[in-house]
Amino acid sequence: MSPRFDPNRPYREITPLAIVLGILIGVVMNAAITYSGLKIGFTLGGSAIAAVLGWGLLRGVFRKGTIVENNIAQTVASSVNTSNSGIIFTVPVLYLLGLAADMNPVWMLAATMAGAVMGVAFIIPTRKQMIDFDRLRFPTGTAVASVLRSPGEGVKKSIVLVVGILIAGAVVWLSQAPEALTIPELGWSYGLGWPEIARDLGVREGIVGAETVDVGALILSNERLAGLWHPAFEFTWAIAPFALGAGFITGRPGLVVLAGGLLAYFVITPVALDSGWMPASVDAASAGGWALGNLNRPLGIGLLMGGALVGLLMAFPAMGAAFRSMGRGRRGNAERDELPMGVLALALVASFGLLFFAARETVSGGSDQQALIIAAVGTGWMWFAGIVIAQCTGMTDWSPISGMALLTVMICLFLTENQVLPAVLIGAAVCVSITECADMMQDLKTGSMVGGRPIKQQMIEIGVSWVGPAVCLATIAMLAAVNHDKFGVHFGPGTDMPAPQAAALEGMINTIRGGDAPVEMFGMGGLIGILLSLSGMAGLGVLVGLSMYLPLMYLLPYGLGCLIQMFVSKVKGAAWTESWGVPLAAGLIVGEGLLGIGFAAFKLLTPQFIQWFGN
Amino acid sequence: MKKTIGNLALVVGVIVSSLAAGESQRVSRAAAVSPELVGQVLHTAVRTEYESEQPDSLVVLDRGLEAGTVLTDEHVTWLVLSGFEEVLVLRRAKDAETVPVGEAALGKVLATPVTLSAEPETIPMGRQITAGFVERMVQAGLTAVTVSTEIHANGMPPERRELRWNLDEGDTNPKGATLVGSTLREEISLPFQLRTASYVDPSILERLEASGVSEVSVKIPRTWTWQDWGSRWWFAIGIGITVLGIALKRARPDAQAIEAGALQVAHLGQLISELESRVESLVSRSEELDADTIHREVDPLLAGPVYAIADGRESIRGAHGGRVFAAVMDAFARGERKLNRAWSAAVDGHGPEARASLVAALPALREAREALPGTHPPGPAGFDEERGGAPLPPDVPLTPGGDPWSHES
Repeated sequence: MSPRFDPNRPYREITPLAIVLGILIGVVMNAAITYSGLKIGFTLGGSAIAAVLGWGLLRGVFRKGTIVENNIAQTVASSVNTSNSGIIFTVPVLYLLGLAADMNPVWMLAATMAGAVMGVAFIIPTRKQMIDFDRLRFPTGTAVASVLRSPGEGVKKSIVLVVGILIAGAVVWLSQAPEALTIPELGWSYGLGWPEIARDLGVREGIVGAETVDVGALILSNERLAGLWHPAFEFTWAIAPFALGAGFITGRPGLVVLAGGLLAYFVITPVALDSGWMPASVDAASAGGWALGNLNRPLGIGLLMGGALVGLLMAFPAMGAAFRSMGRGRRGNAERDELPMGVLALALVASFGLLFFAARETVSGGSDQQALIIAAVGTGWMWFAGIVIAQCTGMTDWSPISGMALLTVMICLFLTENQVLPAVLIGAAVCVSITECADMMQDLKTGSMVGGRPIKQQMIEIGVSWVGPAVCLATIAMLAAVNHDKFGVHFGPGTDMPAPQAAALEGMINTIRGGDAPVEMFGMGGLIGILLSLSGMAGLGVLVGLSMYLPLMYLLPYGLGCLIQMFVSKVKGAAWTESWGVPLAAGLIVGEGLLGIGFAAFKLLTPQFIQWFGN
Repeated sequence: MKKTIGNLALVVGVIVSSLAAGESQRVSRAAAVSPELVGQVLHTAVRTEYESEQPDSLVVLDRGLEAGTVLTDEHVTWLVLSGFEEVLVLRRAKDAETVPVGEAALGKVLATPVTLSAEPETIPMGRQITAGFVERMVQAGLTAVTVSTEIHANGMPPERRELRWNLDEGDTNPKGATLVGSTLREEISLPFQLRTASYVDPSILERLEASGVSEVSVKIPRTWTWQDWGSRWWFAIGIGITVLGIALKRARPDAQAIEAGALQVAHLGQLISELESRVESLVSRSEELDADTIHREVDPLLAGPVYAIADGRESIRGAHGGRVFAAVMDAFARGERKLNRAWSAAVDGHGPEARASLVAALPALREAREALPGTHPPGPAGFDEERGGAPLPPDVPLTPGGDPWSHES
């Protein structure tokens, strides 16, 4: 039974309990996700988990926590957590390049904290455009709202949500438990996963992996179908309930993402292989990887940027209206909706100052003028890239942080004449900033759906966003020190933390410094992206570009989710789909997030377990 | 019809231009078989499928040439005699060069790892062993190391064992175990190694010189020119087709479509009016309503008209332009958020907040209605008195074509 609140006291929204709880949840998630991100290369969004944990603790344990108070708790937690992807995609590259000792950690901390605050401040004026006008879906934001609203949605809808969580939990358990729970040092062994189930069902070996199903291999193993199938076609599906759920919530617009993936993996890659565009050493099995690095990713980044640029120009009138509205302040006696422009300007000036000093201290032989240019361009890029990332997240739930990190560092290397330290410093600040942009907008979407006041969420996010970088940088420093003692290197080959995204960035940095940046591909992609976004379908260039370099294995279940939504909508009607389908899809997103963070935390603590139980 | 052709042109244009863009990165080029091929590197293997009648010295080539072969005069002669007119060769015959350590190496990227003999590095036990690390140990002259490895015997669960691994006599090592993937179990000292792709900056140069390295292999930067891009005209054609598609898609809608759009907007206006009047009715009775009643009353409003108005919003932009659209949606979204807050507060059992939110929603919805041209205020024209405060049916019909993705403006 939901707690009832004393109507004689003010309606609880921002409370010390919500803030403290949010920070605690955010810090734990940040550390756990930083650890898993350095191991597996991608991070998990924290909003859904924070909402469930907050819901359980605030309402279940403390018997407090209104819907909007819980929204504040998840806003705080996800804000503290979210910056980790911006940092782990950039900062560990300094360790890989052997430059970590040359970086003053205070300046890195200052720059990333400044980035966090700037990200929140930058994105606030676009709230009206993205949420009120474009009504971007923000699938995870919608899923979180489903969780928060569950006390009032009735028993049946709550059961549907829980069923979704349980399905996703079971699916993810079978994917991740065998690896996480097998600890030879403790004599632990757990063997029931998807490959074992598939084997018992008579599926050929190699088709079903722990987290993937290789449908392409299945087709090639069939004599009749093999002739119709190009061996370079990638048709591996990720076992990812969250992608299915996100696709369902997005619906028809998400299909464009699938179209971009098909263009990249079913047209460009096989044509490139058959036409001899790839080195002779590349075979059908490795064609996808080569095409991704050399063709699809640079072209996709170009499309994304070109499409975003046009989208931004077209959104100027609405953004102007938002600025004017913020400048006007409150309407009559009505409460103010947004933070005043003055506060945002103050946050921006202070953060810009920090960025300037951080740049000045790290550019070797640089002048104040150069630091000023770096800080100014970095700030401008933060604004633009932040809007791109927020749009992508809103339209699809995917945020192309890694692509943005590569592009950002490339620009910074250009500005600093190939100096890695300031490039990574500004790159980290920008990446933190853009993750905060996406998170703020996602939280505002949730807030809008539960009736939270935007100004309160904005205030609280500006107030706590700086905590995340501190936690993440401390975790990285700790893990690096432990690894160095244990393996002789901080991250990368020879350790059990390959830091895949930072390794990709290292490759990019070396490529750029060696004069090999694929600038012309960015340009060509940019032109196509500009045209697509002029076609009248909002965000088309962004979506196609994004999907060209996302792994197809996640796009496939996502596209399936879109198709299922369209089918259900046609058969049962849009309102029925919204009422019953969305809670189930939300459950899939939340369930995978919960299990994912659980396993990440478990792995983080495994060495400790070994110490405790092994003796 | 125009729209369909426009969509098709857009798809074809994007495919053609993307493929043409991809072609710009091809590593091979077609080259006519001629003496100019000498020194070039073959990209794709060439084969003959018939018995050769060539001079004895060339018989050895009967099986063909492998990919990666650096072509010589003899190869070219064989190609001519075998009837090949064109072969695929690498665009860049070599991508690395050896340069002396000094100015020539500065600013370059290493093509192979370089060992710095003057910089010993202590490797702690616990280091995971990779293929590159094995090579490094062998290069340093190590003959054996203590490792912890898993031994996989047939049908048995893997057994972890610590053992001495011989680096020079692989056969003496246990079957079912591999060195790569094992863990070092002793501390060793190796000369530091600069990895492939390391950037040679002044500090690296200094270290190379201190270790007595005289020359290094560095990557040759890629060059790209318009002339090398064989598909540039295809790219232009693809862009042209895309532009054509956009023009067709953005063509002025016909009278029928305009009329349909106007009808949709009128329907939306009616929904906004109806929503306003329903909220007005709730506000007028708000003092009598408890939280549960507000929850029951607001729930169908959110699932019904609010959802339908939001879903059909793009027709407003089509009919009245961006300014009116922004004015309507700005006010409507404010009202919607207040209704959501009333719903949440009601669920939480907080009547005062729920009532206050309802009161706050009303002016915003009124503002939205007033901003939409041609919409009547609630009352006889816009409000069904007979229905009164009864909930709307759960499936309020959505405006057809309200989906932004089908909207062409």
